Amino acid sequence: MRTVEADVLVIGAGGAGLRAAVAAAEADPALRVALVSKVYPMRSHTVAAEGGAAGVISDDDSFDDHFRDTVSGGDWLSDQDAVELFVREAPGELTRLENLGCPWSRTPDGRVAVRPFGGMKIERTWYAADKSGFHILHTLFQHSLKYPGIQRYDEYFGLDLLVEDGQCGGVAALEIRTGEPVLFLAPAVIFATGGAGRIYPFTTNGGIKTGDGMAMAYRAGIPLKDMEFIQYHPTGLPGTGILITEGARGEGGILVNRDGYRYLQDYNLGPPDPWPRKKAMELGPRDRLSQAFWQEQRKGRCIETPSGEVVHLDIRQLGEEKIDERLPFVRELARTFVGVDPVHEPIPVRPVVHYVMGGIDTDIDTRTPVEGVYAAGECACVSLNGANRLGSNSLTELLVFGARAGRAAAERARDASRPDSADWRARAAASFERAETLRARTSGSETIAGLRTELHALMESCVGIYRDADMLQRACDGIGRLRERYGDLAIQDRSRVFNTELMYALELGAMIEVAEAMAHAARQRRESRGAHQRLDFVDRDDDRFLAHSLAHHGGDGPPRISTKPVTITRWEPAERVYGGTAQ
Amino acid sequence: MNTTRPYVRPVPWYWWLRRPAYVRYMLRELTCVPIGAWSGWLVYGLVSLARGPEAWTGFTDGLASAPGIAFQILVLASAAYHAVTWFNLAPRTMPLRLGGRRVPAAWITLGHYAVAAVVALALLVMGVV
Amino acid sequence: MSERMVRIEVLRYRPETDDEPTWQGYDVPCRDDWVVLDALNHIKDHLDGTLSYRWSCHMAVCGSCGVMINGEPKLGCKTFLRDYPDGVRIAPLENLAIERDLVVDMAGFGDRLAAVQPYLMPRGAAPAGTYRQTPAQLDRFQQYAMCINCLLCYAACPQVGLNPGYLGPAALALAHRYDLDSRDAGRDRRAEVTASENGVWECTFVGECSAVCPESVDPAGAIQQMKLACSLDYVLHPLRKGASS
Repeated sequence: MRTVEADVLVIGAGGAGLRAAVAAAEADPALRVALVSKVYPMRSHTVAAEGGAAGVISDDDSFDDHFRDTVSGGDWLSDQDAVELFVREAPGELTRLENLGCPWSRTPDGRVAVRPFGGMKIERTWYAADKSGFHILHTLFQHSLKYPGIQRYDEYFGLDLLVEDGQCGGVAALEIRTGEPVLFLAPAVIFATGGAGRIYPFTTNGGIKTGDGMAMAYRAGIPLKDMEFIQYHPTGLPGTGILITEGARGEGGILVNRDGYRYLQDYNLGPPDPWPRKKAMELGPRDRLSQAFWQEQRKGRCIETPSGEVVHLDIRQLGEEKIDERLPFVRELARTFVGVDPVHEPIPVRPVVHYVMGGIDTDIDTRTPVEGVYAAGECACVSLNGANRLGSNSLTELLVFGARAGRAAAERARDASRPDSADWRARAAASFERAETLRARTSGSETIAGLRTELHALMESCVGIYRDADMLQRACDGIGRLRERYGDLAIQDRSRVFNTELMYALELGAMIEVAEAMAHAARQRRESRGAHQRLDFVDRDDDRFLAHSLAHHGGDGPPRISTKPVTITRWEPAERVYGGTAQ
Repeated sequence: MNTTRPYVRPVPWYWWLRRPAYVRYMLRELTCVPIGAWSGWLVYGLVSLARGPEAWTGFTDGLASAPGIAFQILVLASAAYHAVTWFNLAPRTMPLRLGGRRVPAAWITLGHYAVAAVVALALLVMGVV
Repeated sequence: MSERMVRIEVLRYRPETDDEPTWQGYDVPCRDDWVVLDALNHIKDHLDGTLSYRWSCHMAVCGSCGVMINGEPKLGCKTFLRDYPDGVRIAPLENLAIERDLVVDMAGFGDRLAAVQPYLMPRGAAPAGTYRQTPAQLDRFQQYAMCINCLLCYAACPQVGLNPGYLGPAALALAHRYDLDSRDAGRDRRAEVTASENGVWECTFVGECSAVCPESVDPAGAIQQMKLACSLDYVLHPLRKGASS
C-alpha cells in the first residue's frame, strides 16, 4: 500500500473542505495539508446551490434578528452558542470571499446586494445571480491554487477513518484511477463530505451525495446527531428533482394548486397580501411549505403530471427583464428540463429531498468526540440548523465552520505527534481487505440497483415528510434486512482501473448505514418538530424531546439511540410563528 | 501496481473533414492562398508597368483573359468570404461599451461593413478620377 | 409516459484487458424525457455494471458528464434522446487521453488551469469591507466566470489536439475573467503565461470552443480580446515604461 503523510487531512473538497484547507494553510504555511476528494473539487455539490448565503449587512438588520430567525427556523433544536457564533462570523466570511474575487451581485452604487429568503425577517442573503454555490465553490477552488502547502488528491475514495484508543491516525482510501490502496496518515482529519440526499429516490442532490463521510465517522465510533431531520426543498422539478431556488420566491414568486389558489394561506402562513412579505406565505420556512404540499396532495388539490403530482411556482409577474437579471439559471433549467418558459408559464414543482440537518456530532469548534477528528458543512451537525434549516444559512455555514475546522486542525497538527505508519498499516489493511473482497466476489444474490431501489422505496414511503410509528418500524426492520443482505452483494466489474461499480457498491453500504440511523432516530422521537412531523404525535414536546438524538453504530446490529441536551443561551423555546402574526 | 494505460487517440491528417465547422474554418484560412497569389500578381503588374507599355499591355491582357477573369473571381470570392467571416467575428474580439451598456454585436459588424464600403467607394472614385 | 427502445453504442476501453478502444452496443428502453445520462445509468444498473463514466449533478452545473455524442461534444445530462431517433454513439471527449471507457485524463487540464494563475491579484491591501463594484463592472467579466470546467471546448478545439502544450480555451478564458475584474491588477503577471508560447497565440480562432460551450462563456472571444490586449501592451509598453520611470 502507498502511504501519504500529512499534517492535516481534509476529506471532501467542496465549500467546507476548501475553506478548511485554506484556513489550515494560512494558519501555518509550513503545514502539509492533504485535500482528498472522490471527485474533482469543482464537481462537489456546493456547485449546485443557487439562492445565496446569509450574512447580516443591512443597517436595519442585526445579529439578534439573524439569531432569532435561525433558532425559530430550527424549531429550537439549534445549539444557541453555535448560532450566536455563526451569525457574528457570517458577514466577515462573506466579505473575505468577496475580497478573493467572488462575483456577488451588486446594487447600483456598487455595494453587495441582498435578497429576501425563506424564514428571514430582513434581507440578508448575499447572492451571485442564481448560481451562488457555483461562484462560491469556483472562487474558493481557484484561490486554493495559491497555496503550495495544499496538496490535492483528486478522485481518491475514502474507505475508513482509522481510530485506535480514542486517537485518530488517518484515513484508508483507494485511488480511483488505479484502484491502488493508499494510507493517509495525519494527526488531524477534517470531514467535509457533504450530505446524503441520494438515500431518497427524489432529490436535488447529485449522484455523489451518498453520506460516505458520515458513515466513515459513524463506523469509527463517532455518533451521528439529529439524523431524523431531513429537509424537503419545496420546489424541485418533477422527475429529475432538479432544484429551483428559493430565490425565485424571494424575488416574489407564488405557489398555487390546481385551482390557481395560493394554498399556503390555509396553513398558518397567511394572509396572502400584502405580497411579497417576509416570513409569510411563500417566504415561510421550507419544512412548513413541504408539509403544506403533502396536505394538499391528501386533499386531491395537486396537479397531475406524467412525473407525479405537482403544484405551480409562478414567477410570470416578475417580468422577463427581472427574471433574466436575477433568475437566469431558473429560466434555463425550466426550459431545458421541463420545457416551460417561466416568463410565460408557471413551473411545475414538488418537494424533493435536499438537505440533511443531522450529521457527525461536533461542538462549536467542529470537534468530534474523537480527538483529532473534525467535521464541517452538511456532513456535520453542530447543531446550527436544528430541526429545520433556513435557506442560505448553509452556504455561509460552509465558510464559518470550514474555517474553524481548518484552524482547529492546524493547531492540533502543531502539537500532536505524527502517527507512525507501522502502527496503522494493520488497521488500514483490514479496510482494504473489505473493499478487495467486494471487488473480487464472483457470486452473490444481490445487486446494487436492487438494494438501492428497495432502500429508496422504504425511505420515501416510511421516512418522508410525515411519519408514524408503524411506518418507522417498517423502515427500521426493512433497512436492517437490507444491511444484512448487503453482505450478499456481488458486482460485475472486477477491474481495478476506474472501477465505478465498486465505488457505487461502497456508497450503497454507506447509504444503508446512514439510512438506518435516520430511521431509528425518527422512531425514537415521539413528537413533531421542524422537518420531523409525526401523524401520531402532532405537537412539539419540549418537556420530553428538547434534546438532540445521537445514533451509535450497532456493529452487525441496529444502531443505539441516546440523547444529548440542546444548548439554550438566551431564547427559551417559544411558539414558532410565521405569516401575519410574525410581523 | 500501476495498470493504467491511458489511450491517446492520434489526430488524423483529415481531422478538418470531421465536422462542417472545421471545413468552413479551413476554407476561411485557405482564402489567404488566392489573396496571396493576387498580391503576387499585382507585384508582377508593377514590374510590368516599370518595364514599359508592351509588358503592361501583356499584363492587362492577362487580366482580361478567360483564366485571368476566373482567377479574379476566385480572389474576389475569397476576399469576400474572408471579409464576411472577419466582420462577423469582430464584435467578439472588441466588445464595446457605451454609457455602461454593451454595444450590440450587430452594430459593430455593420460598422465594419460601413467602413469597408466607404473605403471601397473612395478607392473606386480615385480610380475613376 | 411512453417508452421506446434506443440503440446506444459506447466506445469502451479497459486498460487491463484491451489494447485499444472498441464499440459496444446496448438496446435501452428509454422514457420520453430521458437524457443520455439516464440511459447510461440504466445500462450501468441493469445491463452492464462494468461501464465507467463520470457524472453527478444532472443539471449541467458540475461539468462532470462531458462526452462525444455522434461526434459532437455535449453534456450527457442535457442531451435529450428524443432528438436522436436513430440512436446515439457515445465516445469519450476528443483530444484527451482515455483512462477507462468514457473517463478521460483530467490531470493535464488541472495543470493548465493552475498555470494561468486564476485568482485575484489585487492592487494593494484588501479594503475594510467589500470592494465597490458596479453592476456594469461586474457585467464586464461575469460571462467569463461561468465556466463549469466541462472540457467540451478542449474536445472541440483542433489546436488542443494538434499542439499538446496549448493551454486551451477554458484556462485562457478564466485568465481573462480575472484580467477584466475591476478588483484585479494581475494582468501583466498572467500575461507572462498567457502571452507565451502555448498561450493565446496558439489559437487560430476556429471558434468551435464557443460553439459547443454549454454556458455561453465564449472562450474564443476571450482569447481574441487577450491577443488584442497583449498586442496593445507590446506597442504601448515602451511608452508606459517611459512614463513611469
